[in-house]
Amino acid sequence: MKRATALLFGAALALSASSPLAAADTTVTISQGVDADTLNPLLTTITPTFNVVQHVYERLADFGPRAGEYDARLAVSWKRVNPTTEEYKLRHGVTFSNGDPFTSADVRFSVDWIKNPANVSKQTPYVRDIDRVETPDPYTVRFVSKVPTAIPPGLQNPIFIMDAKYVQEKGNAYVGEHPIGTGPYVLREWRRDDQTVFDANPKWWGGKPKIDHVIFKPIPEAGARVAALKTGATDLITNVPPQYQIQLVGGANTKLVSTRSLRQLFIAFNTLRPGPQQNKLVRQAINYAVDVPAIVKNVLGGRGYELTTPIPPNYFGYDASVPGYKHDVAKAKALLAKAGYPDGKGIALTLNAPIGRYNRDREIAEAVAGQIQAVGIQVTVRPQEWVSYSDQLNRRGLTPMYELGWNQPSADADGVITSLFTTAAPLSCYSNPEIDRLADEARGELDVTKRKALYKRIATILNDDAAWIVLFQYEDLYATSKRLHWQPRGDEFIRAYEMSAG
Amino acid sequence: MGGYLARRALGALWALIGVAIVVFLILHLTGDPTSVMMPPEATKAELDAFRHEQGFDRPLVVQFGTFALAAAHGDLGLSLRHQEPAMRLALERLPATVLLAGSAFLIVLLIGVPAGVLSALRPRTWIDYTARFVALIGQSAPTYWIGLMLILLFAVRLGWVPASGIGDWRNLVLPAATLGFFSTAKLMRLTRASMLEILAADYLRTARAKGLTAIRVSLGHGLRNAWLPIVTQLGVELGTLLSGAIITETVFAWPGVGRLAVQAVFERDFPVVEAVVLLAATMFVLLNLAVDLLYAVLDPRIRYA
Amino acid sequence: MATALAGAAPARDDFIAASVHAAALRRLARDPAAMLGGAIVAIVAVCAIFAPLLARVDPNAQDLTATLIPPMWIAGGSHAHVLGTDNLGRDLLARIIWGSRVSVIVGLSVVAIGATIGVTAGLLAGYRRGWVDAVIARITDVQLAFPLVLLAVAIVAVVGPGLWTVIAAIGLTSWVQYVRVVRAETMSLREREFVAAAEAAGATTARVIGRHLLPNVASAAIVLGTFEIARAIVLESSLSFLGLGVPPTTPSWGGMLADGRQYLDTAWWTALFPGLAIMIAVMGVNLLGDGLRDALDPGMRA
Repeated sequence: MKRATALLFGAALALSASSPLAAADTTVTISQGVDADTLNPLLTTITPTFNVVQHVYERLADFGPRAGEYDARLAVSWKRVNPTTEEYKLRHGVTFSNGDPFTSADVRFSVDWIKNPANVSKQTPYVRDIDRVETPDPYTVRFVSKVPTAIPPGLQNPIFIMDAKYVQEKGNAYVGEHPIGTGPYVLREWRRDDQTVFDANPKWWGGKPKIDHVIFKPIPEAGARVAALKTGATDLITNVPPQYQIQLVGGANTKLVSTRSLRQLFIAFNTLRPGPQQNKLVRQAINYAVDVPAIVKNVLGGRGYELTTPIPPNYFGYDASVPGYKHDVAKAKALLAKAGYPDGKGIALTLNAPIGRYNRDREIAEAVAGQIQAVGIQVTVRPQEWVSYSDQLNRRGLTPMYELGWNQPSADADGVITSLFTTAAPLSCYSNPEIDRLADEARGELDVTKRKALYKRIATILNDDAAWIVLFQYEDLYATSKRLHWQPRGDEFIRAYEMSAG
Repeated sequence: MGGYLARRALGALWALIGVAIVVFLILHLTGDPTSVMMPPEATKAELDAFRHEQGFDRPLVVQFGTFALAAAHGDLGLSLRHQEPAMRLALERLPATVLLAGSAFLIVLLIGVPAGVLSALRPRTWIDYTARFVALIGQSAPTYWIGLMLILLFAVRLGWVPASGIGDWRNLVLPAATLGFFSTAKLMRLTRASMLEILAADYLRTARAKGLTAIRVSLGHGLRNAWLPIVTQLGVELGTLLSGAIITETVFAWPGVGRLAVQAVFERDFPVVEAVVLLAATMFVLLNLAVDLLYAVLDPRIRYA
Repeated sequence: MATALAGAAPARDDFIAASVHAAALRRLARDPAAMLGGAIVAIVAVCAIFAPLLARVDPNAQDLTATLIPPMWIAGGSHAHVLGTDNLGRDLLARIIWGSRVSVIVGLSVVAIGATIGVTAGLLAGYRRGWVDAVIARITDVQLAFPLVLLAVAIVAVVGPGLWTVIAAIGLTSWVQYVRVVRAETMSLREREFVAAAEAAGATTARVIGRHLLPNVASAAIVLGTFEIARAIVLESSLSFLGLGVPPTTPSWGGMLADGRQYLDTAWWTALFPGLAIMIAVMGVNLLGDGLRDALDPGMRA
């Protein structure tokens, strides 16, 4: 009995040795819902993982505050040499935290690493358009693509740069837990699902970061995150559900910060499968039946922005003159009757929705179903947990309607259109040869004005065809302690070097 | 005795092999996780490349053969999500689960057994009734609900302890209490029932001796005879605790093996599921073996055919 | 689960069995705790059977303008929703009443499946011995080596959630409990004279098992069955809690708890009441089970 207690005590003490750092330094603790699944920056595409690794690793350029704008990081300038080649001039004097110099060879290595199937990287789509990487000198890199693209492949989804020498020496498994990068922080320790601790890198090319230590402490439950923030155990929490707004806004030590997200939620019709959803009039009727402002108000507590087309206003390619569907029950019923379903008789639809994948995804689906039922159409909501949902999604098996969210950090319409509306895309349950043609053209169109016009045309067709029920963009809610100064980003990236505390 | 041990060990080995086959079949017969593991923008060519790289396109028998050979060496492949060796991930998380189960076990031992003894010594008093009522609740309420209520009361309303995660001893209190509740209740009732049986036989004989002496006599005598089923049940409960840790770890976001398993199942991370199941099965089998041995050692009257 | 010590239960020959059970019932009726348990079980059964009549509103009717309304007796509550509403505006009381259906169906189905398979396997293993016993014992060992919760989780996660998947998964974890107990009992019973007599009279295996052995293991099986109902109800709710239970559109107590989890501090009633329902129902079954065990055989300690 005594020995067991001693053992228990010892274990508890060992655990508590994870404690605080020197009081004079500034430390910021960030709590997301999940931990990073690896510290290898080229492996997965999950935002919470990016948020952790981007304190150690850097990209050539980061997405700037607005669509089409970029912040220079490891590249200081870039220009298009010819329609299929983009040249980047790299920053001089940058070293990895182990002393290795940063050169163009590391850039090429990183691209090749992703392309190598043995590495099982999920970022392969990010470098798909890069045909080859040329390194004419240690500080110049050229990405050559097969066909011209409006956004150069190096900037569509910029990748992190790893140290070629280090990775080749140590191997993937080691690098996944011992990251060495050029960034503002170095890893002190990583205890999975417990915490990740970073210390400021005094040799960073950008100068010593303001925050000395950054700790990532994942807390899966939203309620627990809020509680941790209130007690001061953490300084920043993500994904705050609306019901906690009030306590956080007026809290003694907390404040709510929010931003318009780049992520939109929509409901798509599976027009590839047989059913009433293949009838355009039915789709249009359903669009008129849905009242998006009411959903934003009742389900999101006002924390959302109604959208009119699949290309949102904060994306390149948006055109305000493309009309959306306003809530109009009379029109909905008229269209239904015209389609041969007076009062919705004869239609029974299923609305598939994920559970817990997006903020209030299920409640929103239920609300939309309720609104569609108000015009007489029978709708059953079929919620599923994400993995089986995503499985069926990838097989185009969700029919006739399904709910999905989409976040495009590059804030460019191409990502949305190509991945969600072209015939070849695995996620697209819509097929229209004209859209395919226009999307290809727009992707390669280098003239900005012409490109915008193409996307206006695309949006007009998609709206007229009622390919989706366009819903809204989220307002992302975060909460921080009062001493933290930080502005959230629409692409959900969190960077400690953009913060200051105190 | 040696022959018995050898036979049981062989049986344990067969059981493990059976478990490996079953878990492999369950996972692989319902499709492969390629579509879940790859990003939404992946093309069919990229999906096929991934599938080929992982060996999911080979015949099932071949896949099992490769799996079995590697598993015998403790190599269960790389976690699909983390790209780290699956068995290493599982073993890394094991101490946290052992700490949790161990702490819960201590609660069972330090509260359950004495409560049962006390209840048996003072039958039909308010102590007895209270203890039995609490035990009934413990055996009836779902573990995760108890966890949620404890969180609500002690973490949210009172703020005495954190609501989730691992840290110092404060983080351990609620999860251990939650996990141990059911087993504590069970042991308490078992101890009480065993003690009552023994005491009923002895009570008449010691009825004349009054006061403390009687208590001491019946306590010593009663417990000594009752302890056989109690000890073996304790062994069984340890297994229950390890198994129940799955739910408790999920509720409290405790970074143990159970939570890893649930996440892996949800994410179709086959290697990790296989690693956790085999690890758990090994532990269970060893535990059962130990319990059987203990039973045989403690009670030579029991013969095994 | 602890095993019943084989020697503790005196076996009865067939024609005495009936009167033993009658005596058991009388003992049961005189046990207040068991009667309480029985009453609770009866209430749950009534809720399950008469749900449409008892619940005044549709449990799936959502009203997004009336979400998270507190129970009637708290400020902000209303008489329309006695126990309040959940995050979709559905009436909590109606959902709890309807939720009893899932629990009852799962509990009874799991026991039906588990007991049938488990008792049969136990009888065969205990009576026939030899290779039949060896095979069944091996399978049981494999099953027991598996952490039960994880097995259920794995099956449902992989096959996909649904009422019958859940029942099958839980049933698969349930049958082994019977085998151990029944096998031990059968092994001791087969040495008795009445079995030898029946065999000498030329009874087939099926007849010996059915007419002579089964009634005697019935008590143990019944008691075990009641506790298995309790375990099945809790396990089903745990699976629903993890998101692996019945489809989210069917009201189930575990599913309600899963929904209410995120509102633990802002709308505690959504998590408290479904949990209370599970607890009370299971308590009833446990009390009844205790009573049955005491009534059928005061000597059993399991």
